Amino acid sequence: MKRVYLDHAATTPIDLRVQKKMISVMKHVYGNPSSLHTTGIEARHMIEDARIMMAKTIGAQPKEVYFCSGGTEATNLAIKGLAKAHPTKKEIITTTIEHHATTHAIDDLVKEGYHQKMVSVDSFGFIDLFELEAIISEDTLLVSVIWGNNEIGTIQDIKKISKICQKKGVYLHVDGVQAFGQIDINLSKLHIDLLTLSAHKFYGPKGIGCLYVREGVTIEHLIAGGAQEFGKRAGTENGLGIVSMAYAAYLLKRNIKSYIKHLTTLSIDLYERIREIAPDVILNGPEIGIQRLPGNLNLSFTDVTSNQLIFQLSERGFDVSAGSACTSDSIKPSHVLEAIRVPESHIHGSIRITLGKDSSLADNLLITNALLDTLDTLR
Amino acid sequence: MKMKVIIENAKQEILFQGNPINLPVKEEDIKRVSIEMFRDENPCIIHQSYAVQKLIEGMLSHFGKQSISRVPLSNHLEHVSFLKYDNLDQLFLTLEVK
Repeated sequence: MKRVYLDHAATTPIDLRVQKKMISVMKHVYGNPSSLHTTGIEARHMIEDARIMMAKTIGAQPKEVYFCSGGTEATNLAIKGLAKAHPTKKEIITTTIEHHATTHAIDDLVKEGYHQKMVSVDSFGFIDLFELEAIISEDTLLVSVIWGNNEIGTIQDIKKISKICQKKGVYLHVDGVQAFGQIDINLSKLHIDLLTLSAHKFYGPKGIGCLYVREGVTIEHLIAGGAQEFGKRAGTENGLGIVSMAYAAYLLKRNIKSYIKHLTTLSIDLYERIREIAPDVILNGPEIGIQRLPGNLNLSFTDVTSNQLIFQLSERGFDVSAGSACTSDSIKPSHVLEAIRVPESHIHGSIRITLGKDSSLADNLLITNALLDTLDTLR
Repeated sequence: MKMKVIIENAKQEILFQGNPINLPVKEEDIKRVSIEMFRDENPCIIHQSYAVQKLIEGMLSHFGKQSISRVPLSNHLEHVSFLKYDNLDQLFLTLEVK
């Protein structure tokens, strides 16, 4: 059975060009970049060249890019590292639709005595900017916001959020894990203090990510050891991952306009097809357009559950996802769907379809047919 | 494809009637399939519900997902043993497919 992968927000397959690069690096560059001999220096050069490439791709300076193991570590480093470096302020503001990397990192700080404030969102997932400005206090250290929501695709107005943070004199961390590749990011035109990125969300390998830290912003390390990554992330660098991440970022950035257009075209087509076969469908999050991640369709149906839909579609060859979470004895809708108040009639029947570069109109037709059959089977 | 399952005993008393996804399934089989699929010996509710669907899908595939009437389960115990009934070998299955 042909499988159609439609879960690109969970992870992406590694780009074939990145795969080739990885094989070459694995074969030829194995030195420890901290070593002083030629083999080590060669590895050091490779990493620093990749840092330059990664920085250029996001409009940053190389010294502002700290590589680490992925998005979760980068977010933890941003939030906890900043808190360690600025211990006098004890308040962190975030939103009700953050990724668990952010919410749980903040939970850890709350256990240490920090205070957390949450900004609510509207039914499309947009932050209430007036509320944000109003709740920032003298004690606020940081505002942490997800740029492009991983579940419902809402793209926040980072420029406006940034202006509020600057005006109030607080730091801004942005979780850009889903945003990179689906938004044309240029940090030279935005005042973001910390930005999280993860390679496997844009056709790079797993196990590598980076934290952008704007020049002048100080953070403390979380992992003690050597002086790698400007003393902020100890441990021998993952040279293979670093090179692959930078190359994957470069490749995607080079064609970002056509990639966004490709995803938007497919999303519009697929949503229209699904609306025809299932008039009860709800699109969770903003309408398809500039305020929504172009490859994201989060859809809710009546009289079915997310798990049933995922299973039946998987049996028919289609990989999609859901935002459910399990409690001890029931399947709970995700905190994001609850935050945007998806109607009770629909909230338990939600799936997330996320398209990618190999998705096609032909696949849209196939999944629509499979969905029609699935709904018919389940109802 | 809409499917309806009816489970009856020898006296033609209906023990179950409805969508196959609502069939009762033994906990030990849910655990077994969860371990097979997810390597999860203590399956959460999401894994449990996925395992249930996998078991039922296997049974429906065995019967060809075609309409059948009062098939004695005694001839198919290997494929229905996960159903939570005490006397499976004395029960009958009807599958209505539209």
